[in-house]
Amino acid sequence: MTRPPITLDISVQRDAEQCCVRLSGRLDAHQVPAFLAAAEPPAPQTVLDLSGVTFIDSSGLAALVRLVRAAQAAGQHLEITHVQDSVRLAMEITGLYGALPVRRAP
Amino acid sequence: MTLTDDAAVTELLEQVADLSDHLVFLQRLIPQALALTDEAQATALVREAAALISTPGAALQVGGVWHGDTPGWLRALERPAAPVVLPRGSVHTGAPYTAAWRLTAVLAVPLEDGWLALWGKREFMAVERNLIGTLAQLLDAALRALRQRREAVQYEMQARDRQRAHAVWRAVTPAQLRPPEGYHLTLRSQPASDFGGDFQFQEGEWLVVGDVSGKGLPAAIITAMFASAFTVAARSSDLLSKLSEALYGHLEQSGKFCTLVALQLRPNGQVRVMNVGHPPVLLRRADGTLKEIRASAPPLGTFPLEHVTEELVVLHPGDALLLYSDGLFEAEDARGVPFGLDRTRRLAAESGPETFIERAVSALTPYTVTDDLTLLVLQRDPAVPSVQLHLTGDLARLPEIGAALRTVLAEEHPALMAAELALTELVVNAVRHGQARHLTLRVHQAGAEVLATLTDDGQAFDPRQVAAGTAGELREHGYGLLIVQRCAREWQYARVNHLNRQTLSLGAPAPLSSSPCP
Amino acid sequence: MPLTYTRTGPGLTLSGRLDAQNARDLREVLTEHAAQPGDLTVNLADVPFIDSSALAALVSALKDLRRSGRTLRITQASAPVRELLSLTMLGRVFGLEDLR
Repeated sequence: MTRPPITLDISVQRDAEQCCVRLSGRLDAHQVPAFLAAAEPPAPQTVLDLSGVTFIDSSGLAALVRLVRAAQAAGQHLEITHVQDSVRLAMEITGLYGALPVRRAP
Repeated sequence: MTLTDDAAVTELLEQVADLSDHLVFLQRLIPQALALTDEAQATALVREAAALISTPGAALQVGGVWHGDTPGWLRALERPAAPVVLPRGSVHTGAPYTAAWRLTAVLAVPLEDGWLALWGKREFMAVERNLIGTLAQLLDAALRALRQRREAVQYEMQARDRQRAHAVWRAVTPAQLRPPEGYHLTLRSQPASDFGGDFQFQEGEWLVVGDVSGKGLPAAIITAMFASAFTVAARSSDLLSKLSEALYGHLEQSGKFCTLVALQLRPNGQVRVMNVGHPPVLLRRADGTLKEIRASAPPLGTFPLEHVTEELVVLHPGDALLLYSDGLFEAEDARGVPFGLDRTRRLAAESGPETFIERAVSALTPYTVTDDLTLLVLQRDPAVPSVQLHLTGDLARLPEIGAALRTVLAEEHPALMAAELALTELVVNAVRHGQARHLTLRVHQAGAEVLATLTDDGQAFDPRQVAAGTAGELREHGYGLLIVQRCAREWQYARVNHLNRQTLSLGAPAPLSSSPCP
Repeated sequence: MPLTYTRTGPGLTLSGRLDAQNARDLREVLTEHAAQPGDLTVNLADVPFIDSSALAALVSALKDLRRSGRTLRITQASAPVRELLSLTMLGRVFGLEDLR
């Protein structure tokens, strides 16, 4: 059994038009400030790649919602991709899986 | 030799002959008297003596009852204090007792427990009186022995009855119980006499221990009634009402009452505890901390059962419930100082569930236990994998929750993700909103679910009272409680000793019908 | 131990242990005492110990009195007696404040 990661790695590729935030690890209450600091403000085209996220709690979900609403308000486009099972479970429990702009697996 | 001398010699010879007859009679009498089996035989001996001294009437009274054909006039006479001859003419033997008036002397001799009378002669001579006096002494000895033999037989029958009754009582109130699934059970049931008023019954998930007021046979009768009422009541989820319905009237009529604790023990460690007038149940956590579950209603049979507060507890592996009857803390030492409840509590905290009974019994050595004594320990199987985690207010330690869960749950366990999610929410909640700085999480696996207890030292706060947000709404807060609600099959909150305590049964949430992408 | 008691008007003051050995006497004294009109008050300040038989006698007396619209109040009780009444949830029905 591999021990799940206990921190969050954030990599950001950003230019004037696009922003791609790749997350790996835990997106919980403790990690949210670092995540928001890196992901804000959204660009005209933003992709949140959650392929490495093993755990998300309600604070992490709230942070995602905050980014999505900011983008909507600014008329920008934001998409969440590569949602893993545990993240999807949290989204489903809270009814957010359908409400958030999640790109469905092909 | 003169005529008078001749007459005197003749009389003397007659007397010698009589004495010889008497002697023969007495020789025969002794073995007969010793073998006496009833009053009729004694009466026969009195009649035989009467015949020997040539008087037709003889009767015997023992214990206020006359034996033989006793004329009415005799029944009207009082037992004499000492042997006496009532001279002829002094006793009225005519109407209304008999048609004819006959002159007769009456020889009356008292016995220890009655008297005997002989009549029908004009007088009773000294030798005759002596013979009857000796007969009376023999009869006294014989009747005394008869009484003792009868008492012995009766005592033996009673003892046999008691023995049989004891066997029935023990069958109804077993000294052994079967451990409920998932628990270890130790019981010591020690009645004060052959019968006890303490009882313990078991049916399905239910286990009831109780104590009928008083002790001995009267209490045991009520106990037996309780046993049959319990069998029926245990089929109902409303056990106590059913018991009360069946027993209240009987208890009230007999001026008795009954204290009891009813436990419904689920294999996963969830226990419903109801205490009706019984001494406090001690909930002993694996780390030795104690909680008392006190009575929430007066004993059954005192006042109509109105409301019983039901305590829901989760026993994690190693936790135990300790039950005892008042025979324990009311035991007194030589100076009359009772064992006491404080000492009971100390004993429970200091000794583990495995040794509680043993140590209680040895601590009782200098005490006199006068009442029934029942000690029962129910321990949640300590072999079930469980984990305990201490956390501080530092949210950087949140990952430890998942790590702890993975020590008792396989990665593919259906409740793992839900449990980590829900428990993380509760910890964050307690730290952020309750300013909790010391939190303890205890978790064990129970089939497809996870049972968890979280205690924290934050401000008193029952998160169940907060309305969780609606699912599917885009909000920037309020998802945490929604997550807990969706993952918790059961969720209890209590404020105990300045700590918030939540116990949850957590499992994979049912899928929510998610609305399509907008 | 024989039952020791003193009566003053509606008040009955008991002293010494109340247990199975004198529970029957206690019942008799209570019944006798309840024959006078009005409520009955019982002082248990000098009773160091009370067992379930004696408690049953007090409960029976209270229930008898209630049938005629009266009551039995325990005015004072020693600490151990209070404890037992509190444990069994019977303190309040006898008008004793719960000490917990």
